[in-house]
Amino acid sequence: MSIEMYSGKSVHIIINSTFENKLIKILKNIGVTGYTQLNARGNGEQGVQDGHSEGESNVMFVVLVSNTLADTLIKNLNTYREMGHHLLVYLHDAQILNSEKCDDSTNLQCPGWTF
Amino acid sequence: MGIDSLLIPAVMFFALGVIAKLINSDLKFPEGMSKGIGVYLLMAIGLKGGIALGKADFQLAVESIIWATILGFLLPVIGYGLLRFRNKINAFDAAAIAAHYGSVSAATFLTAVAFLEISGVTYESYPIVMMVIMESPAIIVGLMMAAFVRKKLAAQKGTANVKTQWGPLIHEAFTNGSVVVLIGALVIGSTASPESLAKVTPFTQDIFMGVLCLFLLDMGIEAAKKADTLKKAGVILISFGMIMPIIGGTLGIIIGASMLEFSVGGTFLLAILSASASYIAVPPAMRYGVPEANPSYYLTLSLGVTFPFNVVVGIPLFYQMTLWYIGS
Repeated sequence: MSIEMYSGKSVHIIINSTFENKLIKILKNIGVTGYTQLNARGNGEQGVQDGHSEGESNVMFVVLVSNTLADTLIKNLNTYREMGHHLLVYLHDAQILNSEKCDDSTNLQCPGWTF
Repeated sequence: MGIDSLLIPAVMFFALGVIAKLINSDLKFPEGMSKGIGVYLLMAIGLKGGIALGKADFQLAVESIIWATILGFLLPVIGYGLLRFRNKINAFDAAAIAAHYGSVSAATFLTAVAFLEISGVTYESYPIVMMVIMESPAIIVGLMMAAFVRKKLAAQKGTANVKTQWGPLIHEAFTNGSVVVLIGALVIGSTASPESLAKVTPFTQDIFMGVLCLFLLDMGIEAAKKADTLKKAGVILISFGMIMPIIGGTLGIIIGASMLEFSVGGTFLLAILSASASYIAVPPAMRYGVPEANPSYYLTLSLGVTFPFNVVVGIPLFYQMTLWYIGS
């Protein structure tokens, strides 16, 4: 590939919509300003989440971050998970375009991309 | 007035929604429509209540508010006590579930109003105000009970207690959409001129019953969706979902008739308020404020057990109980 891509992490976070503002605050506090959010319907231990009411609405956040920032983000989220909040968090290794902002050594966040 | 209470269009559309889901029909409402209809219904009932309140007795209005506040704090405590009897139910689940039963279901209330109007029974407007008051205190009680349990567990484990962030939770409890629309509509109804309100009446009164039918059709679909999780809830919780409304309803009848001296219609509506469980306002508050609780329990109970119970059994039962109590 001729275009240079940088390595980072794609972090997917599925939360109940009541946690949304809190998550945005967490992201902002650690320096993540770009994110994508999607309505997420599903079913699991917490029951059906079909978006019919706020108590049954899930949201999925996707953020692209450097490896270092991913660690910070996971540590923050784990604090809330230990408090009992239901968060589903998974990471993927990602090759990220827009590389001018995505330098792992300087610990900058990669810009979020939108679908 | 037994089976007749089930043969009103609103209840029959609820049953239609349940049947549609059970036969796997693809009937569903567009996203957001249910919330929009809910706002309309709250606006309409709030305006109606406000218009009546403008001519109401001030002292009785104040007494109604006081009793509504008492019920709002008392019912979740009773519910928690029942659920924690013999430690059958986890304390966090008990706190969250109890909060639902201390609050109110506007949907059940509106169905009860439909029943009274079709039956030609008049009612006071004070229960509408009481509905507004009773929305939120139970949330505070549920959060306090959970905070107490959290502190106790932390002390037992020797770990640091996680402090509850009261600010955002209290803000959410008292500014949720339902409360804002209801209070706003009550104020508008009681202060706007009769001439200007008359222009709104075709929208808020004439089509009210039809819109309620649509709303209950959707509620029937949603209630039936909970059928799968009923098994998970278990016999104890399902029993609670039917016993607690009877306790609440009975308390409502006593307070409505003996303390507030409401008519049959008003007492019946207070019974319904006390018997109902929130589905809209309390779940998000508990999801965030009591994350340790399992939301499938309280959502299944309030919508899958108590709402259908109140619509099918509660309305005729509490009406007969009210007639008997006031008659005696």
